[in-house]
Amino acid sequence: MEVVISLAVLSILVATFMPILGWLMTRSKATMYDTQAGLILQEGMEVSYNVMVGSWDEDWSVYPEGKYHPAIDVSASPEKWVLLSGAQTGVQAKFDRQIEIKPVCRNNGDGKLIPGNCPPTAGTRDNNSKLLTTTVNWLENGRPKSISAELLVVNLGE
Amino acid sequence: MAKRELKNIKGFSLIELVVAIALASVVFIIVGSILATFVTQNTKSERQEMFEQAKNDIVMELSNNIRWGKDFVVTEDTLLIDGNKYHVEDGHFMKNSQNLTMDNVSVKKIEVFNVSTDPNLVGVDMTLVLADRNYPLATDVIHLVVSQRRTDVSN
Repeated sequence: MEVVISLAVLSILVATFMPILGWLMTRSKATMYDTQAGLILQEGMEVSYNVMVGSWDEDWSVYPEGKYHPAIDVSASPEKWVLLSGAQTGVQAKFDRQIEIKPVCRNNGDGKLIPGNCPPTAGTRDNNSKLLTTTVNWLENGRPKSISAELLVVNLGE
Repeated sequence: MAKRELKNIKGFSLIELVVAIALASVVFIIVGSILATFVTQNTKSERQEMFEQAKNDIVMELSNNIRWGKDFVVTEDTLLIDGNKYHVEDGHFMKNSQNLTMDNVSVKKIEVFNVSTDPNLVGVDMTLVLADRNYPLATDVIHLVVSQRRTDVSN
């Protein structure tokens, strides 16, 4: 009888603490992935800012609207950042990243941004502004997770 | 007479003892492994915290200065921003003669590249490999990607 009670108590203890330990380890891993994703996102924003600011003398004709990912052009001398077409997969083996370049529409009256498509009557497309949206996606325990950030680049020199 | 006395002595049977020892072993193994995991995790966490602190110090210092700096000289292992020289000396990451890393963290490797699209703008791609001075096999990497901000809009 004593043996059965001891085993039961032991089982209860194990059954209580094991899920807690498992949950703590899962949380710790999730926090690590969040941090990594944040850094990858920030890296994408810095590169896209540099590339867009660096190419605004060409009226951004090199980078029409679409999805891109950052890369280093090793064939250039000196090497330089570029945006390549399409999304990037397998960043640090786990993350996908894309930088979307979108046109900017401004209200005819106050110049404020109008989200989405430019309505012909109310807004005008601002060719000196581009909206860059960097998005990082990854899977966490089979569930998709995503973070994104927007950056408005404005060519004030023209 | 002697046999009768022995039979009257109360105690544990062999089976009870074996079961007790087995149970104690199971408890000992479980508690021991939990404790070992806890101690290992604690050491790892402390080390990770130390690396994070060192990374934060370096990244904060460099990010702001690169973003808003004016004059740059970038070589493979040195960054000169507005007269301040960032480099590695005796395993310490230095700003001029000031040590920016903690004593228990050493910098094993530094690589700096200017990969900006615009020649008038600086874009730094920098890699620093940090190591625990007390346990050099434990390393962490800082990969810093920062672009200088264009503040002069008259160009």
